[in-house]
Amino acid sequence: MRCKDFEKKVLDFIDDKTNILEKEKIEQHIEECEKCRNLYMDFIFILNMSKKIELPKLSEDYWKSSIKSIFEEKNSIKFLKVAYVAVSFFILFSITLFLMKSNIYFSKENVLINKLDLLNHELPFSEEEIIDNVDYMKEEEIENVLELVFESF
Amino acid sequence: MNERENFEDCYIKLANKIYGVAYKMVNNHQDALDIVQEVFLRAYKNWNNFKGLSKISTYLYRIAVNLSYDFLRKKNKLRKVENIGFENWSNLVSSVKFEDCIKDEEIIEEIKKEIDNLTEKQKVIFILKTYEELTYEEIASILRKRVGTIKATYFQSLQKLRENLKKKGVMKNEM
Ligand SMILES: [Zn+2]
Repeated sequence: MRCKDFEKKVLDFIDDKTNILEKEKIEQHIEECEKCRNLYMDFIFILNMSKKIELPKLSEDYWKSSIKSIFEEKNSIKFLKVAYVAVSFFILFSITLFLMKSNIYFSKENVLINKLDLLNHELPFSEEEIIDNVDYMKEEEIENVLELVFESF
Repeated sequence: MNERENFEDCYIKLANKIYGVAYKMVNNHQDALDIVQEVFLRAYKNWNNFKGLSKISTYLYRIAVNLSYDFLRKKNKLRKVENIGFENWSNLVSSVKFEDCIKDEEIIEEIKKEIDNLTEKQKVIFILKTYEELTYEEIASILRKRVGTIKATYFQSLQKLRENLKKKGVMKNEM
């Protein structure tokens, strides 16, 4: 085995991922070649020492309690989204009202029908469903919807 | 299991791992905790896309690595290792054969510093391989790089640590 080949194989050898044949050749090269033996031993030394670097210990309880803050932060975002939706609905409602009022000048009957329509018409989604759906929207998407609404003014 | 329980379960299982990577990347407890928080907040926001994935950890690692990069860049902690003027000093100390008389803790401290001195690519691959004990294939899919590249970079990082630790006299100087 040449030193170049050894260098290519040494990492797999350290991971114990070489086949028996390769393993024998590598072990033989380690015995014969001082340069590669040093490289191998140094890598092992560095890896062993690196693994001794300690992390501050954090228990499972710590993580269990810290998860709350994620939900809280998420909820505050959800609240923002709900606010966005509320504003959008208000704007849409205003537009409808505005259109309905402008209808008055054309026909009073139409307005009546429109009003009845509005009362009888069932919304396709419950409020909860809307909020749930909005949750799947990215903030930018909501912003796009808002933009469209504003443009229609 | 409902969505929230499902997320909680994943959080409890993986938060400590993500923390480990973040801590070793940014070398600071509080900053690492902030990164963990941000990683999972982002995951939770997109949980509907996340929960179907077979290897959620791959994506969490990826976010953690990216946030750590961002953090380090912002903190301007990333330094290119140019050990100019190091040579003479290191020759001097190496003859003393430091290794025999310094304690493990000091060696570990030096290694920590040298890990910090790796390039960001070398550093993250070193951390994921050495500490998280991920395979080259897993790291490749986290970093979206070729397996060969990951392996070569890992070798480079070990070589670089070795060289620099020798220059510092932490390890014997025979190459
Ligand atoms: Zn050799």
